[in-house]
Amino acid sequence: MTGIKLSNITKSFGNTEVLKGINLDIKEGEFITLIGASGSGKSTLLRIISGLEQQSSGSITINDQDISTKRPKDRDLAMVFQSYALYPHLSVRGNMEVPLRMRAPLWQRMPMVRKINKKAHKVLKHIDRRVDDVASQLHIEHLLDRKPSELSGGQCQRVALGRAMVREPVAFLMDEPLSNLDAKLRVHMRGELTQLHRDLGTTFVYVTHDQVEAMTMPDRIALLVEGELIQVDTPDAMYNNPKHLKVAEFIGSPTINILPVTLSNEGRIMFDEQRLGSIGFGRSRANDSISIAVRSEDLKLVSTGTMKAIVTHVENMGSEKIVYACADWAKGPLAIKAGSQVTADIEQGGPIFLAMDIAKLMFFDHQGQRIVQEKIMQGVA
Amino acid sequence: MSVASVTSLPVKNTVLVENMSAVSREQRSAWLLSLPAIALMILFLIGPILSVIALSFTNWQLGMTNINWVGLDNYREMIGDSTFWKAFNNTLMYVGIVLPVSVIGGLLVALLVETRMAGKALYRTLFFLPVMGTLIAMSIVWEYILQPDFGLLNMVLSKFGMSGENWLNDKDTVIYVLAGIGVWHQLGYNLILFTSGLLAIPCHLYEAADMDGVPHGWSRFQLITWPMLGPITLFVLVITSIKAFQVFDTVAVLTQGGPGKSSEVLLHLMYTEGFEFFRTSYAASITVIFLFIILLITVIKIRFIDKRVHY
Ligand SMILES: Nc1ncnc2c1ncn2[C@@H]1O[C@H](COP(=O)(O)OP(=O)(O)OP(=O)(O)O)[C@@H](O)[C@H]1O
Ligand SMILES: [Mg+2]
Repeated sequence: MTGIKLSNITKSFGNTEVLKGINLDIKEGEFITLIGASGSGKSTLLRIISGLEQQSSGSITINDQDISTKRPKDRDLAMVFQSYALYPHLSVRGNMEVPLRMRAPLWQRMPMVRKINKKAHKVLKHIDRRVDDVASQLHIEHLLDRKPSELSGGQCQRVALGRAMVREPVAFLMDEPLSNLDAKLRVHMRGELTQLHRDLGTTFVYVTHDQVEAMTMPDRIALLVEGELIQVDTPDAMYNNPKHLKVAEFIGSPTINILPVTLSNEGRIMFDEQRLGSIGFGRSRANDSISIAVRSEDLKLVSTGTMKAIVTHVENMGSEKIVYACADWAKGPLAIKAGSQVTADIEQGGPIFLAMDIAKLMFFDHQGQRIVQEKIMQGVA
Repeated sequence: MSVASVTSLPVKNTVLVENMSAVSREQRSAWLLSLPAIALMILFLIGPILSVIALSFTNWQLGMTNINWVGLDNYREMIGDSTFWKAFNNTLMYVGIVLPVSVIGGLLVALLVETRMAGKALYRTLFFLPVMGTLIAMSIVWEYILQPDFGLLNMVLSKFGMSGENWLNDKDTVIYVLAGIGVWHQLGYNLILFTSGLLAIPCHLYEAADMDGVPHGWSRFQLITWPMLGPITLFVLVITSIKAFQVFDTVAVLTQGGPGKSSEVLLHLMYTEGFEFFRTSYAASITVIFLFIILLITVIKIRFIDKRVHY
């Protein structure tokens, strides 16, 4: 199989197990984001792929070649660090040359050798040309003679990318590369990175804790929770078809609404003694505690009904509003996304009535596993 | 005319006056606040230096009441004084050994200690011990070690069948022995400075180098460690050379400049001229030369090197 394959990767620091058996196939040319809360082990996993950190057990193959114990430089990967990690005393050109120059034998890198030896001259000339090419691809030709201290954050980021690109590695590993940039530049660079990926066609493994980055850029998302991969899927599937409650909670903004309910002894969904619609789970789940998850846009504001809630506050996003409310039956806060016209007369502290489309609800058992739709018995009388 | 303009622009003018008084008030309080520091500097630093320079142009001797202006006489005498040149050359020799050996040695030991997994703290402490002991006390210990008949060094040498020298009494070895003690004293200090410099290098640079395929060893040292140590190296060089020029304690305790004048150094010569022969004005002119050398080192640092090592 081409691409990067992680099998049963575990990692412990002392007694704390940070990664608990990661299995992941990254296809060649794929853009995959690793997302997860802080401390979930994203950076650790990326560093294990790069070879900067050694896994406690498990194996990594790249294009069917076992590289589990190889040193970083022999893995043919390139990394873009959050802090850029540019060599501060070298010019931009010097920085971008490093990955190519350092692979030439030491004698060719000596000063003056270039002038004496034809072969060294050819090698170094080739490097120069490659750096020029990459620089023009990233629009940083005019910065080549500057030092990193004379660059802005976005320019540093480009140089770091350039340094990773000159060598044409098998894959790019990026650890939160945009997190040091301001919001506007981040949006811009997001687009540029996606474009770059399309142009290069190389595998991108991209660590982020930013939802928007994780949703908008990749082919697939891998969600890491406390050292375990909960789900690896396309952004669409992660949003619309989460396999685990944690995925539903992590993906999407505002956070999905979770309604904890207890089933009746006939397996029906009860809200304060009231049955919800006509769906139920049969007697096998009698008296179980389950969670109903519903996206903020799948809750509808209606003029009257049985689901009453009190508005706690309203966030105006311009084209739409997010209404936060609380209700006894929800046992917690609710978020409702609605168009500006619908919400015009809503005010803090006032009552609202909600309705939800039963087809849009997602059910999770008490361990957080999704209860597959087929098992839900429709139309139980 | 000016009266007219004042009356025609009353508002603007008062603002201007207020501004000016605000500025001058700020200036006044600035001077007031720095006055204690300035006074202390004049009293203890600039004053003495100026009076030393002035003294070097007179023939005053400690305890004498008459004082005459003699122009450059002291300096002329100094140029013709073979002892001065002996001391000058010995000092240069001493600096020429202590500076490179303790700087390069300190760097090498720091690199070795930092690449070790275990026992870092122990090694750092061992090398730093000489720095913490006062050199006077340490000199006495060295005197016992170097004593020709029952000293530790010669005893050890005789165990290996070698006969040791009378180290401190041999005019061919004495300055090297003193330089050795100087290195021993300074190396630990440089080691600590270099260690702090090494620890301050961000580790993601080394990780980037790992990814970029920079070979371990020399290439990595040349690409990251050495340039990143630039500022601290400059500091170490300046501190070490100034300290080496100031060599005095070991000479005073161990040799008093002997045998002959073969271990005479500038500061010790100044001391003997000034406080044993009471030739204060002559000692002052030696001091002026000494200060000039120190000033030169500082100027070289600021002018030529500072710009190159910082990025
Ligand atoms: N060198 C180390 N020694 C001990 N523990 C470590 C080490 N590196 C990471 N950890 C621990 O491993 C866990 C995962 O760390 P990691 O850096 O992978 O998190 P992350 O998902 O990248 O978080 P963030 O979003 O904050 O960067 C954390 O609990 C961290 O404390
Ligand atoms: Mg991280």
